[in-house]
Amino acid sequence: MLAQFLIHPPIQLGPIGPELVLTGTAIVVLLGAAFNPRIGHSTLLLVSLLGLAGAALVSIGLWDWGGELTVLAGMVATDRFAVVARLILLGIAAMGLVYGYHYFRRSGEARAEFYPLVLFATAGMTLIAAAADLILVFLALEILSLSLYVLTGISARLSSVEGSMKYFLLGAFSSAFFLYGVAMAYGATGSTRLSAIAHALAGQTGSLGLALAAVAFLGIGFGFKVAAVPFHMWTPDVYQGAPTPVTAFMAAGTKVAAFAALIRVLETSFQPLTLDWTPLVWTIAAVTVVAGSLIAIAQTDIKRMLAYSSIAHAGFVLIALTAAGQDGISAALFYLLAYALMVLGAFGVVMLVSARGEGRTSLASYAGLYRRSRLLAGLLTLFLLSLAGIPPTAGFIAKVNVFRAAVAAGHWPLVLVGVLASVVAAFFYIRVMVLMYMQEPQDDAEPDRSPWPRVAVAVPAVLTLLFGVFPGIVLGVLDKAAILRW
Amino acid sequence: MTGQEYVFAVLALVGTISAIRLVTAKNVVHAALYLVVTLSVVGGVYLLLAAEFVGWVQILIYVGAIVILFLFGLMLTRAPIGREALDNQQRGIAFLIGLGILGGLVYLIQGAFSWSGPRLRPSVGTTAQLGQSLFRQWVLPFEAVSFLLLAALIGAVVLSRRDDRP
Amino acid sequence: MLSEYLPIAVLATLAVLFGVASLGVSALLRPNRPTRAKLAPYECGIEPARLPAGERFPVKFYVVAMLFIIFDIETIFLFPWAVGFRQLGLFGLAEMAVFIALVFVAYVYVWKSGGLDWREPAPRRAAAAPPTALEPEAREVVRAG
Repeated sequence: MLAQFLIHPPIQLGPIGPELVLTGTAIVVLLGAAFNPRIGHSTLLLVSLLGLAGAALVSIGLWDWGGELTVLAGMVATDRFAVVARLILLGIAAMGLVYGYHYFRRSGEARAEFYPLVLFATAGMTLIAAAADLILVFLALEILSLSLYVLTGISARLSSVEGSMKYFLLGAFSSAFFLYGVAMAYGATGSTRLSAIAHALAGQTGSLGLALAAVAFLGIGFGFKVAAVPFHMWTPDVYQGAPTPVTAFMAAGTKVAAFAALIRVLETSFQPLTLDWTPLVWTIAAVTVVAGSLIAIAQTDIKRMLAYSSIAHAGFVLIALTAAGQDGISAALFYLLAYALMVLGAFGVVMLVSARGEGRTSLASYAGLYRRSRLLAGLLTLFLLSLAGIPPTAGFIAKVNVFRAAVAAGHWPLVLVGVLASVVAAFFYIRVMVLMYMQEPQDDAEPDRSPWPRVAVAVPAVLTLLFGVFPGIVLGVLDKAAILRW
Repeated sequence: MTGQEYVFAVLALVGTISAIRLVTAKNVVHAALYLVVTLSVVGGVYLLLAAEFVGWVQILIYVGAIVILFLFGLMLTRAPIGREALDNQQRGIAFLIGLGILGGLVYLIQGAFSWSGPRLRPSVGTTAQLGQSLFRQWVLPFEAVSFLLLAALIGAVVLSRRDDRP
Repeated sequence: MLSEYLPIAVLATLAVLFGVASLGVSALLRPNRPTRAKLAPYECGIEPARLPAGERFPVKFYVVAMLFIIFDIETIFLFPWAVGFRQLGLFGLAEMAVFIALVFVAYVYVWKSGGLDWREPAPRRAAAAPPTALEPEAREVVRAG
C-alpha cells in the first residue's frame, strides 16, 4: 500500500544526492547558528567542510551510475560531466569557506550566515551543472545568484553594498532575459526539457525563428553570468566591492557553474542548431578576449585587474565552445579547472596582502612585495604566470588544449585573436611581477602572516604546478567526462 | 468575433494604455498603481487563455504582494517621488529599442504561430490538472522553489539586520 | 471554462455600478459644505501625521513584507495540492511536507535571529513626529502609503 503510493512516479534521489547533502548541511549550520549565537565559527566551518566532503563523496559515487540517463522526470542528468563539474565546484566552495573564515575573523565582520549562504550558492552551482531541464537551470541559477548577491553585500562597507546592488540589478535583468529565452524555447518546441528540445529541433517540428531567438536570449542570460563582453559591465565593480574571499568564490564558482550549464544547453538541446550558434559564440569569444585583455591594462587596482582578466578568461572558454563535441568540452573543462585554481590562488594572495579587510589592493602596494614576503610574492608569481598561460603551469596546458580544439574545428582566425590577446594580457601580468621584484616597497605595511591561510593558498599553487607538469592526471578523467548523455 | 475575442480586445486596450501610462507617469506612486492595472490585465489574459491557476496567481502574488512591496520600498528608501527623479536622457533610445523588440517579437511569434490562435485545452489550465503535473512531473523544481524562497529570506534578513546596529 | 466566470463578471459589474451610482447620486443630492475636519483623510479622528524629515521607516517593515510574500507564495502552492489531494496521495503529502518544512526553516531562522523583534535597539530620533495636520505634502505622503 505504502510502496504503491511511493513508487509512482519512481523517485531516484541518488543523482541529486550531492545537493541533498549540501542543503541539509546548510540548514543545520543555519539553524545551529541561529539557535546558539555564541557558537564558534570554527565549528560552523568544520560542519560546512564536512558537508562539502560528504557531497563530494556522493558525487564520486555517481561516476559509475548505471541507471537512466536522466532521473526525476527528466530533470537531472546523471552523466560524468555533472560529476566532474560538481567536484570542481565543491573544491572551490571549500577554498571559499576557508578564506572567508580567516578573512572575516580578522576584519571583525564575522557573520554566521556566511557559511550557509556559501553552501546555498554551492548547491545552486552543483544543481545547475546537472540540470537537464531549462526550468531547473533557471531555478538553480537563481539560487546561486541570490546567495551571491547577499554574500557580495555581507560586509558593511559602502563599496560592498554598492557592488551587491549593481550585481543584483544587472543579475535580475539577465535572469529576465534567461527566462524569456526559456519561454521562447518552449514556444518553439513545446518543451523545456533539453532532450525534448533537441528532438524537436532535429526533427524540424518546431519554429526555427523562435528557437534561434531562444538561443540568443539564453545566451544573453548566460553571458551575464560568465561575464562575457558586452555583458561584463558589472564584473569589475562587483569583484572589487565584494569581500575578497567572496570574490574568489564567486569568480571561480559562478564561471564554472554557468559554463557547465551553457555547455550542456548548447551541446544537447541546441545541438541541432550548432551551425547557427557557432558564429554567435565565435564573435562573443573574440570580443571578450580582446576587450578583457585590453581594458585590464588600464587598471590600477589588483582586484579590478583580476576582474578584467577573468572576463578575458571567459572568452578563452568560449573559444573552446566553438569547437563543439568531446574535444571542445574536454578543453573547456580543463580550462575551467585551471582557471578556478589560479583565480582562487590569486585572490587568496590578494586577501593576505590586504592583511585586514580590504586595504592595499592598489597595484602600487604590490611594489616590493618580494622584500616583505618571499612566499606570497612567489605564490602570486606562479598564479600570474598561469593566468598569462606560461609554462610550466596549468594555465599553459589549458590554453594549448583550447587552441588545439578550436584549430581542429577550423576556427584558426579565432585562435589567432586568442593568441594575440594572450600576448597583450601577459603584459599586465608581468607588470605586477616587475613591481613585486624590482621596486622598493612604498610603505612598511605587513602582509598577513597567519600560517594556515598560507597553507590554504598553497593548495591551488601546488595543483596549478602539478596539472601544468603532469596534465595527464586529470585529462583522462576529463575526456571521459566530456560526453554529455541525455 | 467570439465573446472571448471581445473580452481580449477590451483587456488589450486597457492593458496597453495602463502600460504606457506606467512608464510615462511622473509620480512613482501613480506608476505603481498603473502597474496594478497592467498586472491585473495580464492575469485576465491568462484566464482567457484557459490558464486559470496562473491567472489567479498573477493577481494574488503580483497585484496583491509585489506591488505592495514596491510601495513599501518607496517609503523605506525615501526615494524621490516627484517628477525630476524619473526622467533621464535616454528616452529616445529606449523608445527605439522598445519598438525594435516589439517588431521582432511580433515577427517571430507570427512566424511561429501564423495568426492561428493557440489551441486552447481548457482542462489543462485548471488547478487540479496543474497540481497533478506539479506534484508528479515537476517534483524537483517545486522543492527547488522552496529552497530559493529560503535563500531569499536569509538574504533579506542578513542585508537588513545590519541597519539595526547603531 | 470562461462561461464559468460569467456570474463573477456580472457580480463585479454590478458592484462597480453600485459604487459609481451611489457616489454619483449622493454627489447630486447632498449639500456641499466642506470643513477642515471633513476633508481629513481619516474621519475617525486620527490626525494625519507628517513624516518627519530625514527619517526613514525602519527597514524591519520590509523584512515583514518579504516574509509575507514568501508565505504568500507558499500558500499559493497549497492550492493545487489541496485540489488534487486524494489523487496525489501519500507522495504528494510527503512533497508538501518537505516544501513546508523548508519554509518553516526560514521562519524559525527569522524568529531566532531577531527578525521579528520589534524593539528598536537605538532610536535615532526620540522626538515624536510633530503633528502638523493637513499640510498638503503631508497628506500626499500619507495617501501614498
